[in-house]
Amino acid sequence: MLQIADLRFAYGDRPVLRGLSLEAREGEVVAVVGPNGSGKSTLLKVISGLLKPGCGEVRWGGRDLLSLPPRERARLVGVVPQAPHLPESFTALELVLMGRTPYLGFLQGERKLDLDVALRAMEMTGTQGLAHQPVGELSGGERQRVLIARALAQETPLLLLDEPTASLDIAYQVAILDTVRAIQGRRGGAILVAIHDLTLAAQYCHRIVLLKDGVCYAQGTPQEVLTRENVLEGYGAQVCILEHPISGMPVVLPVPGAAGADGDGAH
Amino acid sequence: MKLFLQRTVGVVPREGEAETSAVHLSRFAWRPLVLGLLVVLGVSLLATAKGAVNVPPMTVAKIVASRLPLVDISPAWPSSWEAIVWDIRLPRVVVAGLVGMSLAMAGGTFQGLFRNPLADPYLIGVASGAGLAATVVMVSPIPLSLYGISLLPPMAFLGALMAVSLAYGLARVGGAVPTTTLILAGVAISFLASAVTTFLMLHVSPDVRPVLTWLLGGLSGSGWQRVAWILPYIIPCLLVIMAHGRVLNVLQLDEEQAQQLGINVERTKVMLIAAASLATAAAVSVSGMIGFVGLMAPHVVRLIWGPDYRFLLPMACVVGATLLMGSDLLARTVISPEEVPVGVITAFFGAPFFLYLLRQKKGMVF
Repeated sequence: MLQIADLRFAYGDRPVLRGLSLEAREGEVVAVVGPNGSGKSTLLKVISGLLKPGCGEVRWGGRDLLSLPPRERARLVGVVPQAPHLPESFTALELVLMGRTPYLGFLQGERKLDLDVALRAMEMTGTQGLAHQPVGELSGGERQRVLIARALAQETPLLLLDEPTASLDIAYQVAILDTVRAIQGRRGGAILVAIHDLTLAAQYCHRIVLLKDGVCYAQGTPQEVLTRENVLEGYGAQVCILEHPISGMPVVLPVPGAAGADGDGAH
Repeated sequence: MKLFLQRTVGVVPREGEAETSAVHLSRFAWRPLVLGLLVVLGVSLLATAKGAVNVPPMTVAKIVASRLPLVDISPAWPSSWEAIVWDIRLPRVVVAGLVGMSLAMAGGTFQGLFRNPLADPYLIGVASGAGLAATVVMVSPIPLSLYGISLLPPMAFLGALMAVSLAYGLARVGGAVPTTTLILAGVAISFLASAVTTFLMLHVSPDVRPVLTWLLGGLSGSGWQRVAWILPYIIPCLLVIMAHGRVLNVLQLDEEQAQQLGINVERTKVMLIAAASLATAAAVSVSGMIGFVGLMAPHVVRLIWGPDYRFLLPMACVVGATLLMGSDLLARTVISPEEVPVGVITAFFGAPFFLYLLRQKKGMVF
């Protein structure tokens, strides 16, 4: 179980996380939502060890993630970054094999085991057909799935996805999130997804955590969190909430011309 | 595609050696490497044989062999040949090979570390630091040699290391050294050191030629003493760098991803910058600044065999050594008895070949 307690982080003297606490249990897909600047990306960077928080705790199953060396942490936390730089002439399989880095000794080459894990990860994300294509020739959605495969090859109990559907068309958005749900069925552990699209979050995630100004403003099931009042308070945006005719989950609809006095709700 | 499969399958250990196998060069990679080493041997034999006095290559091989322990060949050649081959040409060829190797390796390391295809071994101030130190020695009353040993290489070496350390120290923010800041600091220090060098040359030294000749780069005057001087630095550096092949592959992602994949990025950067700078400093201290080898050799390997640093680094050494030994051979024979600066030769033949490769494989450069 991921336990985050009273996490605080500031860029210089600009605080971004102000005592954030949240939990994610084994088997859950948890969406982290919130307006721009609410601390979603910062939260993921703290969990994955890129940023050192001022204070607070991040634990996985009782182990303190913040004090682990990078190699140990990379066996517990896998990350699918948002729009990362990728070396174009490496092939997709070579990229996925890089997910095995935390398991390889300094002078060790990839073993048969590593190749098997990488190929299984590609099969789970439906990218095995792309294995020998240079990364530079992949489409946005294909890159995203290859990156998910790389994080899967890391075999970590905790998986973090930063805006996995950003800048993808609706077919790819659905494909990516279907993949996320499917892989969650085949592995234990928890998945944390930072995501902007509230409707998509509601359809695919077991729980939603709404961040505002660096603290957790609301958390619970999609029905509990995605209410008209919460969205108005959290984002300063007027919306209608409907029920999805098939999934029964909330659907968040914008209301034209109703931008509140709070503007786009950034602060 | 097929190559890749072989590459991947090549690292699969055989049964029974599963966990102990530390194969970091796959079987696929050995063939061009072995071929390359044979080419290196061939070129060095040729370069030792040719010159103002042409010695038959077989005799060169015999002269060299007769120097080896446990080999007993009675000399059937004039003693002047022996002096030419053993005391003059061979050490020069060996220095050329070592310098070419070091520059290629350091260039490849900096290109990989900074994810910048334009990076060369001199990027963060090694050459200008060495140049400044050498100039100071030449224009000051410090003797040029002590007990018959030239002071120039050690001083240039110190200057190079000081420049890099300064750049590294200035670029340090908290515990991290951001790559862009390091490159900018290195470039700024290079300009400063070059300015001081120019000033010293023009206003203090009555004769700028020795400094200028040294700065332009060249391998004349290389004896076994120079081999002994650079070898202890170059070999450990090359080993450290080659051991980082797979890590450098992962670093082709950005530094955040590398960190998230379990690499201790800052420690790796310190190790690799230190090793590449030390190797470059050693090379510059005996040969001045020889352009193009460090930039081009890694790119040639990348264009022909792909971007895997586990193969790229050793192969770049082979290409760099071959290139510099061949160029030096031409440099001293084209308009003999005059010598052409070796940098002119590396650029003259290297650049068109490089451009040809670039045209062949557009878009796959980096």
